[in-house]
Amino acid sequence: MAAISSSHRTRLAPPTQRRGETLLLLGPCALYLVVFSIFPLITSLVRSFQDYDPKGNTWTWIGTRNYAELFHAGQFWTVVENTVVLTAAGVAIQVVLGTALALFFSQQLRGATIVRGLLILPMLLTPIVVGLMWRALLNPEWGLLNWVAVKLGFGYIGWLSDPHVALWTLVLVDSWQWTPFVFVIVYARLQALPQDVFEAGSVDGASWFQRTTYLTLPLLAPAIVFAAVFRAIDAFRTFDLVWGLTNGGPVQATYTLSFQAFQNGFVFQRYGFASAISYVMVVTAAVGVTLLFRVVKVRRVEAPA
Amino acid sequence: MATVSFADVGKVYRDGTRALSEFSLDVADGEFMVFVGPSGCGKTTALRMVAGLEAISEGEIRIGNTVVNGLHPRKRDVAMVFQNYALYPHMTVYKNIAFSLKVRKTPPDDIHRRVEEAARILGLQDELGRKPAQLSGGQRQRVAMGRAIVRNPQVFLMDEPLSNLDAKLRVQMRAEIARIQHELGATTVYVTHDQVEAMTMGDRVAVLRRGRLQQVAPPQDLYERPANLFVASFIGSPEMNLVEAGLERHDGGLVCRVAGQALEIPAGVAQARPGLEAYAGKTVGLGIRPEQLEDASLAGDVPAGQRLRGKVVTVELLGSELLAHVELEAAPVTTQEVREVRADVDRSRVADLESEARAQRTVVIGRFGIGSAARPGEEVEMHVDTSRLYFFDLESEDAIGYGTRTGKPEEVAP
Amino acid sequence: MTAHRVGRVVSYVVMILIGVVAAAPFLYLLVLSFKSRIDILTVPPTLHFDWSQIKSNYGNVVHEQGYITYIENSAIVTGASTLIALALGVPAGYAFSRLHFRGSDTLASTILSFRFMPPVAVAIPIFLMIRYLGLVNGYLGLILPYVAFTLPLVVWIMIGFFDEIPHEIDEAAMVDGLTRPWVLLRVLLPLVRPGILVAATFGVIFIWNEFLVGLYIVNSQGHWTIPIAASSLLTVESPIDWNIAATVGILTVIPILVFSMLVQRYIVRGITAGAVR
Repeated sequence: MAAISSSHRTRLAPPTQRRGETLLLLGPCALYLVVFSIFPLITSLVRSFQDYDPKGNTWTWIGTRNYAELFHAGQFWTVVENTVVLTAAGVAIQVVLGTALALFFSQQLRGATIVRGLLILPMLLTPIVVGLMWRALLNPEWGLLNWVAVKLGFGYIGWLSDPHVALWTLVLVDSWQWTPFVFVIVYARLQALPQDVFEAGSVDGASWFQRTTYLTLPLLAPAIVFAAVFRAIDAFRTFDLVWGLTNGGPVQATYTLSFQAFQNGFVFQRYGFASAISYVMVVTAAVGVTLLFRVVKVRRVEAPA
Repeated sequence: MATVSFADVGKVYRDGTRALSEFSLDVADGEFMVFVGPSGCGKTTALRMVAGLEAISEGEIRIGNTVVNGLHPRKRDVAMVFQNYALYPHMTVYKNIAFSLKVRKTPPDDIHRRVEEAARILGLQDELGRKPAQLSGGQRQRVAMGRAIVRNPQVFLMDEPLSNLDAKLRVQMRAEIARIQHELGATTVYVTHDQVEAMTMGDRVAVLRRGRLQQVAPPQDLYERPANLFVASFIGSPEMNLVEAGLERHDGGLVCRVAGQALEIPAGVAQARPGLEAYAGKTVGLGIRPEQLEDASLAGDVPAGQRLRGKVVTVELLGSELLAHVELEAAPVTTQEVREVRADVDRSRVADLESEARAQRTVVIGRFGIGSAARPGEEVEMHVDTSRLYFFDLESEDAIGYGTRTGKPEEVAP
Repeated sequence: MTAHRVGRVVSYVVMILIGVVAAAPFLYLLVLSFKSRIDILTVPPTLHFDWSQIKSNYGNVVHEQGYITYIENSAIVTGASTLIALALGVPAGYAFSRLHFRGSDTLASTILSFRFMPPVAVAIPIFLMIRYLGLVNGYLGLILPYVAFTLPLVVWIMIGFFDEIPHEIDEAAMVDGLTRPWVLLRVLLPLVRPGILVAATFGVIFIWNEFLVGLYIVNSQGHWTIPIAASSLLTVESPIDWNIAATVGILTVIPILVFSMLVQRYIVRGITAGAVR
């Protein structure tokens, strides 16, 4: 059997992977995103180096002046601080509470299914309405929470009116809405853990506390980290809740980066400046995303057959 | 004409790993060809290249007269039975089998007739309305076969179809598959890592190792004339016993020194292996199959040049025979190929091999008659059937007297 | 009572508390929406409901404030966006799961990373783009960006679900005679139905609640979606009556709550698909 042309090299892809088909399957999606995600992102970058004149609808190139103004304004750094506090404190609370809830629900309790169903509720609600709900609850005159606080002897608390408290109120409400997210993830992972590991631990003599500390939590760690990073990136972008709960007030005490960008863009029509703020956020988010993808395997590793 | 031919076929993956090299083979029309070898030897890769599920990096594959490199599977007119069956979970058995016909727009009457026929051949008539999840492993396997049969393709490709079945079922299905293939007269390429399957089912068997063809021959030839140490130790269960022996000239003939004893090599054997003489004075690999060893006390009059003495380590009573594990004071063959065959079973067996080598003691296995009184701890004298000895060059690992390194189809004087 | 019993009782109490905390704000708002303007000020709110008051509140919002229109708008926009996102995203998810070519991993990661983009960063350029195209105040002006926001999530979820189906089924179908797109349509689609439902669920929830971009794009009241309508009626400085505001709030979330109750197991599956791999 003579060996015919060994220059008969075909492409590396199997015959089942044809370029036309790949294009057909992926093309529309990729194209759509290029037009409606990538293009705007690039435009945003370009605009961040420009100044917009609403009267004439013109753009003038001003180089890095937007950024310079941004970084020198004290207000920017306060806003950054607010955002960081909201993100860090919020995520910390949500992770701890969410994990605790997951551990709590690992018990067999009758009716737990209903309560778990209720727990999902906050995540589904339109953030504006969440803001409304809590504004009602926290209303200084007739809100339920202040009524309870007075009864318990704490006196009136300026949940939304005291600049020092407002940000933490935001943290509180954000945690109310998103702790269930962490809970669902950690709980699912908890359910999926192999039982025999814990049985071995019991036989070895470990108490509930020891088993939890040495076995459960380490095994849950990947899910917890995933939820934490995910939440962090999302919390960083918070806008809807700020609008609905405090509208940035009082006296800009709850300004987050998203909110500030929005204000400058939508309200003041300083689109160039707003783009600069947005771009700072994009860069930060990109860092966060890279971190997330290192933690989570996006694609399975392909092994040659 | 449904032949399959591989011409110098090679496969390299994107990351550089090489799965197959210089693979050349012809499968005749209607032949049942088995590819066998340890994990990672390239047999499945070769099969998938015929199916069109892997790209062909080098060389050509032909089905009939058509070069199929680059052709989409649907254009190749092949049918495939997958290791995990790959049945469509949401379709009934009927629909699973009928699917390929439906795709080709076969008239419904035709489809019905052919599916019923396939179901009859495989005994699936009662299952046609059920879904895969409701079937047993054996039934699913048959559905997978039914899917392939109903197409009447040029070539059947089977990727370890029996490996997920339990042992008894496997034995039954082996016979069935062989029967069906014979009845249909279909060219078949069958991949397995079980050499018993290979030996019982194939018209010819191709042994692969590390992406290279070692030998392709009818099963009996593979057994009686293995081309190298790899084939010799891979084929046959229990494994062929391999020890180091010194070849010497004595009294005009050749003699094998092993375990301090001498085995006379009959003149006919030496003649049938040209080149053996050249090894006089050197150490060679000596192969003795278990059935060539017998308890001397059961063998009647045993001449001196056919005896081997050793100590019994274990016996396995199998009802019809007795497998005796006997320790000889001889070094085992520890070449690369032998190690690989051991490692394929389990890596710990390689360590066993090495400790045997250090101690210069080898445990050989003999198939004794059930009447043998050999028991652990005792010395035993064995009769060696010297008309069926195997010799191997310890450096090239090739059989002495026939077979070549690249394992081309063997050309041997019978 | 043994310590064990006490523990159980405590657990039940805690569990009820958790339920209360989760549901309380919503229930509170619900109660407020049943009240008249003056009753709002009584605290704690009495549970004495006046049916005619309730009808008046809700009737007000639904008819005078035009909530029917807004629900229609939301429904159309959400439905269309989700369907388009699925139509684009499911094949893409399939492609990423099955086909590996140079750069496919990078491309997948890039697409998925868009999920985390701050909407504000694209809100402005998208607004300008939509304005330039003259699509402001139309459904299309909302649908186009919403699809872009939902696509990464759909792709992410679908990749996970496609990965769970063995490649061999694809291969068997191709040997049987199908090309890849047909394999997707005829063989795999029925098998990933749960995944599609999960992706759709998340798409619907996200788009329904979307607000920021919508605020930019839609000017005419007739085209408001529910969140936009709600926001304009409920701004922090708005003088709207609290009981009406509460009604607006409740009406805003009722549709999505009903929807979620119907599909709640998909919600859980979707969230955990990423973490319990």
